[in-house]
Amino acid sequence: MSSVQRRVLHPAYQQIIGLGPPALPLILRELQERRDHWLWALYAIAREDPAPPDATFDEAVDAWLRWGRERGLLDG
Amino acid sequence: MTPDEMERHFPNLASAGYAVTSEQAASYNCLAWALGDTQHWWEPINYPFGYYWPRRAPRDNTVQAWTVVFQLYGFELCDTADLEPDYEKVAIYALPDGTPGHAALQLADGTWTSKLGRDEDISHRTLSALEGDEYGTVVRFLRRFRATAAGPS
Repeated sequence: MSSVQRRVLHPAYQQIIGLGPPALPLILRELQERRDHWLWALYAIAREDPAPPDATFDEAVDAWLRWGRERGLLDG
Repeated sequence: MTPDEMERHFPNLASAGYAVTSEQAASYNCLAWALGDTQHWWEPINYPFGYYWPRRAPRDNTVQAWTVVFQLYGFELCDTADLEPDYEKVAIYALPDGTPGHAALQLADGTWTSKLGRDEDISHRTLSALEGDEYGTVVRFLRRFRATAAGPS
């Protein structure tokens, strides 16, 4: 599936967003293990974006992982 | 994606002939790859940050918007996928609902190269190799003179 917009509309992706804040540690751990398109879910749940507006995908992932560690949602 | 998964997603792929040419990477997509960029995922998403779309292109996920993106980088519409040595060509695939499904870049030997979503890059002998439910069918060709080829700044 090439489009992120198509991917995030998938029912399974929407269900994960529906879990709300308790899902954040799981999503962050998944993102740490495999850089994938979880930015939308994180943004939808956290309602903030720690990445700078001109971030590349990898820079945005790094910003979210840092954000998670600073809040004790992610180890190491 | 394993070869089995790839061939399940793209039923024409194995018979057309293909080779995996990179590791998996979620950091760039087919549109980026066709324009020589392996640092950005090109998609007209405003939020969250982490996605790229040229400011001068319409912020729509449409074949026309993708066409404008290629035109911004020196491509012009053309009629066929036939190899023309002085030009590099791209093909845009679209789904039945008209949304773009994929873009592939022609290599100098006439074969094609594609980034498969968040997975690997492959080379494939034909455009039909990737046609089907996942990416739709090829609907548009563009070309640019090889001497002017330049990636995004």
